[in-house]
Amino acid sequence: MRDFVANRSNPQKLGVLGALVVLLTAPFGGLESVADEKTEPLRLGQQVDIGPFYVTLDKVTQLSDLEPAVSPDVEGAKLVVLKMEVTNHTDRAESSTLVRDAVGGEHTGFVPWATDRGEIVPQVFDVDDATSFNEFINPGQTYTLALVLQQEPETDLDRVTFAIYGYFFREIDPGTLAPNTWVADDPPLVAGHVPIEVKP
Amino acid sequence: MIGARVFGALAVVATVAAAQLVTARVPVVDLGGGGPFVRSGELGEPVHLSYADVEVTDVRPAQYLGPPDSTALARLAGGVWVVVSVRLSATTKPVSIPNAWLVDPEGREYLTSTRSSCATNLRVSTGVPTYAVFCFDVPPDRLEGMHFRIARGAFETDQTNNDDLADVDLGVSAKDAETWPATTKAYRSVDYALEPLELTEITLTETGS
Repeated sequence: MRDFVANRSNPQKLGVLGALVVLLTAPFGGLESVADEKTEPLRLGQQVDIGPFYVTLDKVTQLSDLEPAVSPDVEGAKLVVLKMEVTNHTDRAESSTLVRDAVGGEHTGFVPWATDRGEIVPQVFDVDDATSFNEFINPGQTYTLALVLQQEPETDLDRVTFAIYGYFFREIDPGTLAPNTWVADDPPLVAGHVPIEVKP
Repeated sequence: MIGARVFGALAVVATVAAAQLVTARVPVVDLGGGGPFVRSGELGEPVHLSYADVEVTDVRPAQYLGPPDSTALARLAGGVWVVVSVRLSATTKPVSIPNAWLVDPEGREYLTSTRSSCATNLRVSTGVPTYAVFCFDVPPDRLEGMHFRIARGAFETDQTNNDDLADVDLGVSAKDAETWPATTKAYRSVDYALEPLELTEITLTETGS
């Protein structure tokens, strides 16, 4: 045995050592497949499963005001509205904040709402009744929501990209023992530029 | 000598692997053990819990709910508003009721709506009935066989375990499930009061676009 090992080349020895290490980690998940972490291109009308919800981005619009629902609270700012259809496909109610927090982007020119202390957080409205929406969405329920953000008026709309992130389910948080939570995942499920319709 | 070392190393790995298997398969963390003690009832029939009496007095569908401020915009149901009127009284001492929810025949759970301006959580006094209205936005195809549930523990965090829970069959028939989604009724939202609550039907007016 000793001679057999001694006669092997160094690359062969390293290869066997690596295989042994992987085998030894098998009880702890070493042989489990690696999650597919590829980000797909974002398209309008494409249904994305973010974990608790199916989300479909229907349209992105830039406009000056959206009365009576909401108006810019920073002088000169435009509003950008992401209109999306949202369906809870789980068997329990899930918070709409998971949808709100799943959207990101680059070169967006977004400016925070005056009430948000520097953080970029969309205001969410129900498109069908124009009321503010911060709600647990019941199982099987679908809403058309508008995520509304403020934007610098001189933002180059051709450079703006959006991203939609997913969540994974954690039955029990080992730190706090809090049960049944959705945890934000990275990288985004979809990302890219979509046309932004400009209205006065 | 080498054989003993290899055997020792393999023994350590085997022991750790066995421990990993045990912790992965056996529920080491027990968040509550047994389920709730379900006390069943029907519409218009009191359910007696160890800490409160609960009676669902009315259930009806609506398309819109108007907030208490009559100038505010009405809330349109994503599906159908299921409006449940309940009479509660604590039996031995005041009790907090953090939530009520609906359960369909498949066990899916539906929470009250915060945007409805109906009741969400309650403080119920001893011997003085509290009248509450809970509003749920339910998908049109999930109405039949819906049950109303209420307890003093928060059900999202399994705090209803090992305690009484009222489960009331709302009597939503197959025919109701067909007709309710077509309702055009609109009611003024109410949350709770110490006097019996009457739901007021309202007429909506259009605002400027």
